Amino acid sequence: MTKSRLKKIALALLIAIPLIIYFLFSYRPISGTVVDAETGKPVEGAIVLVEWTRTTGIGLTTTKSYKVAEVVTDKDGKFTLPGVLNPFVNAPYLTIYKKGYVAWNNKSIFPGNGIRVDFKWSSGYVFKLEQFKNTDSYEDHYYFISSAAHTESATKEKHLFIKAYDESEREKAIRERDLKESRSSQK
Amino acid sequence: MKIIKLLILFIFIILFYCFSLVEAYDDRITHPEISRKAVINSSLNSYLKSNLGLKDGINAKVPSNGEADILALLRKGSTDEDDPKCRASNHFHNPTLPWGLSYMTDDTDTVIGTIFVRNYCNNRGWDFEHRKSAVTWATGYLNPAPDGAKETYALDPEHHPIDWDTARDNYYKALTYPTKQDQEFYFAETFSAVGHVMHILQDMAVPAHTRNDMTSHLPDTHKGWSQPYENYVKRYPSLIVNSNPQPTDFPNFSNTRVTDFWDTTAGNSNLLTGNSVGLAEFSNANYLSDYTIPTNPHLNSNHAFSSPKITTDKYQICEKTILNAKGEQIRQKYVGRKNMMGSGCDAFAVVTAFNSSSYTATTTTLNANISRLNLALDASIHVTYAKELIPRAIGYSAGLLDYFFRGKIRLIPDSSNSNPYLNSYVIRNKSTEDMSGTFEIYYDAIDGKRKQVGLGVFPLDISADSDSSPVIFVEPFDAQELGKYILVFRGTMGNENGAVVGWIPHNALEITAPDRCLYSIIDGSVIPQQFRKIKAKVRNATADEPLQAGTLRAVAQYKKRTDYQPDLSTDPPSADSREPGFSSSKSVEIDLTADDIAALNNSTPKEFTFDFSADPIPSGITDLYLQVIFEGTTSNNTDTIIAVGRKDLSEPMHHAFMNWTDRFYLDGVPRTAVEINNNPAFYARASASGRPIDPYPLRTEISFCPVAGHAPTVIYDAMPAGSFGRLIIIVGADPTEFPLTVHRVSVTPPDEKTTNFTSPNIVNQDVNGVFNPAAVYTIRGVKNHGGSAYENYYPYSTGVLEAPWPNMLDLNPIAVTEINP
Repeated sequence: MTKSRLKKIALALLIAIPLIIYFLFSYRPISGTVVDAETGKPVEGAIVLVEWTRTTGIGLTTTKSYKVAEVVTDKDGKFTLPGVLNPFVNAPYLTIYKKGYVAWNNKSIFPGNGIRVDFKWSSGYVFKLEQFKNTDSYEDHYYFISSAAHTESATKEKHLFIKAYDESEREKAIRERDLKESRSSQK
Repeated sequence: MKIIKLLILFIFIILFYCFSLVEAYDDRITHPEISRKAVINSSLNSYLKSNLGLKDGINAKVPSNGEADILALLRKGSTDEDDPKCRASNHFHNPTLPWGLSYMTDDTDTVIGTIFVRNYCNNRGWDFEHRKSAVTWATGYLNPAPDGAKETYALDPEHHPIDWDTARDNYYKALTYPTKQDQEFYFAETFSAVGHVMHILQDMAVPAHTRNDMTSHLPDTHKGWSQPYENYVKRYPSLIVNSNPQPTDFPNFSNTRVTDFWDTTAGNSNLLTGNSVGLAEFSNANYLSDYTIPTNPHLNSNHAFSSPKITTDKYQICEKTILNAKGEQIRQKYVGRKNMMGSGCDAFAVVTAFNSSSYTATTTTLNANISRLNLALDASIHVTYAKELIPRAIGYSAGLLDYFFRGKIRLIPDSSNSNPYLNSYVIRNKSTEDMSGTFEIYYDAIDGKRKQVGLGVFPLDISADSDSSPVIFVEPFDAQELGKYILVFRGTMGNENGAVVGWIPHNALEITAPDRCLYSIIDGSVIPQQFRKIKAKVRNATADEPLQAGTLRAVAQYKKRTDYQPDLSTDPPSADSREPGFSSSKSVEIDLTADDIAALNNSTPKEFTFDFSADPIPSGITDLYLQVIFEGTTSNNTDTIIAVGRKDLSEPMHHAFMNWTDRFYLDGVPRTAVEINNNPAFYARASASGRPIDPYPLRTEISFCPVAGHAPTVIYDAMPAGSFGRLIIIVGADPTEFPLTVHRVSVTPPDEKTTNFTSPNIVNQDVNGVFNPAAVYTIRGVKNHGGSAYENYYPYSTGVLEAPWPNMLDLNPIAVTEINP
């Protein structure tokens, strides 16, 4: 192999490998379906929030919101999320909320905050929303959603999502906590 | 070959970045989640409700129309403290050293640290020479508070700490700044700043941060990828979410100093185990970080720590089954703490393969050589540390939060004052610490601005749980809520200099219209026209604080008109025809019975009649507000409190009710009975209507509620033909119009008619500085804002108002009878 040929191959690899890595570690747009876990029927009007963050630094690091998108499911429970063409972002936080249901999060499961392991960033996933039960705590659920949703640097882009759970859960969570506090002060 | 080397280097850099950063779990998890748990485990929620008037507590939105609540702001602050990343170079504190030397110094121990931390930060203005210890960065103190020297910072906001002092300055501004916008902005900044300080404290629960071990944060080849312990916690947030701090995880200092949360300067030994030591002291003395294991060799003195001493009296070898990198179960030897063994193996440090075979031979041999073993930290150890240190990070953060919001002050009426013209109060220090400093009294004015009351600054020393001597200040004339004052303290509280404490009373009364839908009504025939009573429904709107005993009184605030005439002859008013300042009328105080109190606490409001006969409200006024003031005790609070409700009312409105049967509206012309009776053609047409032609009196019943068949509020028993009644009424300012029902009856001749209609509401308040004068109508010589007339007509009533009606026979209004006054 001549030296010039070697140079050409090396140059091609120099260009190709970063590109392959770049696309391999990036997040492509995906589509999915949100259904009622009990009935299997599509859930229309669920808000799907996704957020990527980016951590920078070595030794001392900082993390910032990189990209936020929120979409609403159609009458068939279907939605499409945009992707991110950047291999240096952290894995996304994906949260789905619809009034009357337990919020779905790709990292953890409510109640109990167990770790979710069954989700991979790919199209075709069916997101099953459990109905909110009488035994579930509104306060814990509110914290679960707000923890999943809140990177305060990007709240404006999460307007639909925050408005939806604020309107339907905030008051109930506050009242539940007040009741708990008043019971504990009576003890 | 150069290009091949370049290629390899390039690919290495790309891969290094991809793997080290993609796998890095971001800072959204650990600090905000610890902060959330700290808030939940603190007393902040009840403090905010009881002391700062925030009925939604930690979920109160700040600003009130914003996206974030107080909890989110605290979480945000504790997230932002790592931004920009070089801020974190001040998040280290080695409690074994004097505070001026206890900051991070090991960043040059490695080439990566030198390039990516020391040089990187130096080049961005975070010079090593200006690096601070975490306790100094968070509190400003170079020695323990409150007498220690404080750091001074250059006026460079980018490299300035957001510390305890920042939080207190913001808090003071939030309490005292004039506009609501500024107050809310600085409230948000207060909670955000407290979140920053909590982050710096939470870092003290990470041994690497208290053992000068930034090196363990660097990408590391002998334990996996970057930041092993902190990364593990981020990877498994359930360690935080499911963490349940016990009472021993909360600090328990006596005469607390703010710096105690970090470092009480109790020294450094294995005895630093209780909760009366600083968090940095605790984690430094009792835990290990990757590069500071005392039994391992160290590059230099940066990582040389004598504690915890791995000795046979306190530690022993134990084994537990773990999964290796291939997912296979293996038995792993650990050094465990004897007092933490329980039934299983306490994974405190892992025995590494670097130990010689003689050490790994048997557990007995290892135990005998325990103080010389080469040790490391693995996932099992991270779990052990996390289960002990995260609850403490939560507990200490909660303690810090409670320390910031601990002061409790009240402004209560001076019970010894017998002079009703003296605005005398006492300031109560409800805290457990003495207070010495300046107390300032503010109020929220009608123009929306927060203002200091006249003579409202009091330098005082008040012992814990004690009252001041009486303080006398000028009662403001333009308060939104009379008797509601904001009390602010700045000074020394216990061991804290420059403490800020606020009190914003929140007890609120809800005022709504009485059953008859009118707050007040008077007969315009009586001069001077004055309102002597106001009816209103009142309810305690502070659900979590039931009223217990006390009195209720009402105050009407208004601007007097300078040109008012009882017949409205000078109306409409202008902005200049009002006095610039507010006047007020006060009702007689109502001693509340037990039934009254029960009704006030009920969700259904109770109707009260406030007697203003001793201080009547004139009818020639604009900008009328009604305030209802409860003064007494609540079931949660034995102090006298003041709860206030405020209602914007309409201006007094003049309604004229007329009997026009003195004329018959025939073919578009108002004619007298004499004219009709003397003209056969007129008589024939008028008779065809079947309506009476001669004048007759009308019993006129009027109600002001939308409900059909509502009992009348007033009755003109027999309103003569050609006369009118003038009713001056007050309704709430909220509706743009309100309904009336007028029922007229005559026995002889038989006649009856009910008329339902709406009247525009008259609210002349300034709207953005523009005076909005009400329309005034002149009907048959009577000026009014609205009303109703009754006439007989044939064949149509079209054009009746434009027709040439003469003035009323009597231009003086007749008297009315009020039902159930």
